[in-house]
Amino acid sequence: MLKLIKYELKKQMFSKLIILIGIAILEIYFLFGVLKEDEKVIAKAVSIFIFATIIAIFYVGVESISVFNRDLKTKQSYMLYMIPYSTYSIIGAKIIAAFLQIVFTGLLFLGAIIVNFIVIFAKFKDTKEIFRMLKLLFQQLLEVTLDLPYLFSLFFFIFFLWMMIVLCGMFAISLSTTFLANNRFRTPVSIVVFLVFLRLINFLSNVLLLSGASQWKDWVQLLVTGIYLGVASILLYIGTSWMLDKKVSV
Amino acid sequence: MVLSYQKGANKMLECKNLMKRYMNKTAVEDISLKIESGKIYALLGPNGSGKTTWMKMAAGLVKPSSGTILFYGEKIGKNSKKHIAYMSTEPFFYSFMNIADVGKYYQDFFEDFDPIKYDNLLNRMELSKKEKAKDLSSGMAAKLKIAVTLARRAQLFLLDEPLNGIDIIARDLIITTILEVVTEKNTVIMSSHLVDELEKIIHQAIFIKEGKVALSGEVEQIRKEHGKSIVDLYKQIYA
Repeated sequence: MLKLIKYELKKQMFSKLIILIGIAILEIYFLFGVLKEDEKVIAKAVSIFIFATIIAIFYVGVESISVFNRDLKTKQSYMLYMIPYSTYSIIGAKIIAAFLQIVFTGLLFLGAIIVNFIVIFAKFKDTKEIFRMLKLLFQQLLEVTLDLPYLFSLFFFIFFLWMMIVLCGMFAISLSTTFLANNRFRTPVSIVVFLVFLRLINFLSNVLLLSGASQWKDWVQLLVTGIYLGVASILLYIGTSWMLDKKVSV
Repeated sequence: MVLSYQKGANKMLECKNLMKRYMNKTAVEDISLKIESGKIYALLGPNGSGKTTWMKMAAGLVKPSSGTILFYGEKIGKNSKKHIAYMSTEPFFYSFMNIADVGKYYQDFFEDFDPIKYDNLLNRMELSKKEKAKDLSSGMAAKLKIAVTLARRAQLFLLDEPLNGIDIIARDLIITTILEVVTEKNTVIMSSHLVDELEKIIHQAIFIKEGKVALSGEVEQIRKEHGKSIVDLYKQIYA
């Protein structure tokens, strides 16, 4: 399984390199603003950082779906499906590789953001006031308490939400190449299945969590939803692997 | 597992009423075959006759729509893939790989892969390990496919059009290399349009027409029964 994961990571190595270079350029831009004490540059760099984090994590997930699709629909699929490994191991390796890459990308940006905060703390004295204002803003606008448990749960929730969406994509692609392979409407049907599954998982999340949600703290609610999305992801993995195991023809 | 595969009768691969349908097209309609060990088979037929689909089913890349295909009595799957080496017509290596990476990949996933044999075959084919697989000419890519596939000590070699894209001089080299891997314990099944090239080396011939077996048997016996060479029979069956 480790060998499979190694090759899955190698397939997407180039994009990680581009992300690293992007972070380095952004970091230089940010430090330039700090050294010059140019608030506009700092604000711009922070905004780009937030935007780039969202785009990069989004891209890594989409790329994982795209590689999954390519490994089913091009001749490269032979490399994967001729080896003596079960379909569950092959798909499992793909999902773990996608998981690692999303975590890696998230951590890269998180690391850069932490470095930026340290730099701001060291350079400017009134940062405590900035943080107090930020916390107040979150409390008033989003009605959430911005503390460490909340931030951790938020990352946990976003991560599993994205994993679940990636797995929904893999599930829909598998459906179109297996049970719907002989159906001329397989592409639109699989897109509909993808959207229906997302709606269904969201609906079940609301139903399951509605009873307890009001008594829970914000961070507990996020954590429980994250766990629920994790379970949904596991079920999607089993479904995807089962379909490919029974029906895949590359 | 290897031992159990080598025990018993020499019936290596057996398929019964094998069928594969894609949308409105039937690629393989009804194929029943028994493949024995220690022989070289030619799978003959024009484009679209079902040769590649049959090979892919034997390699576990395509699931049959109906019928059965067994390798030493066991369904095609994880275990059979340990002993079956498949080479497709088209290049299939990952674009990030160079020739050394291709060998490393096979070494990582196939216990029967022999890296020394791979190096020897690369030398013989005049391939450099540093070259990128995606940048190779069609002839060089064909040689790489042959080298990496034959570097396995597999029990069954499925070679789909191994002479495609290979010039006339290199063809002899490929044929000699293929002949070297055949022992009484393994089998080579080759598909090709170059029937005259194959006729000299094969023990058995299987003619596939429109997804069905039109004729099969020992080459010598077929020649005697029909009073024709395999090439002439090919022309007769598919003309």
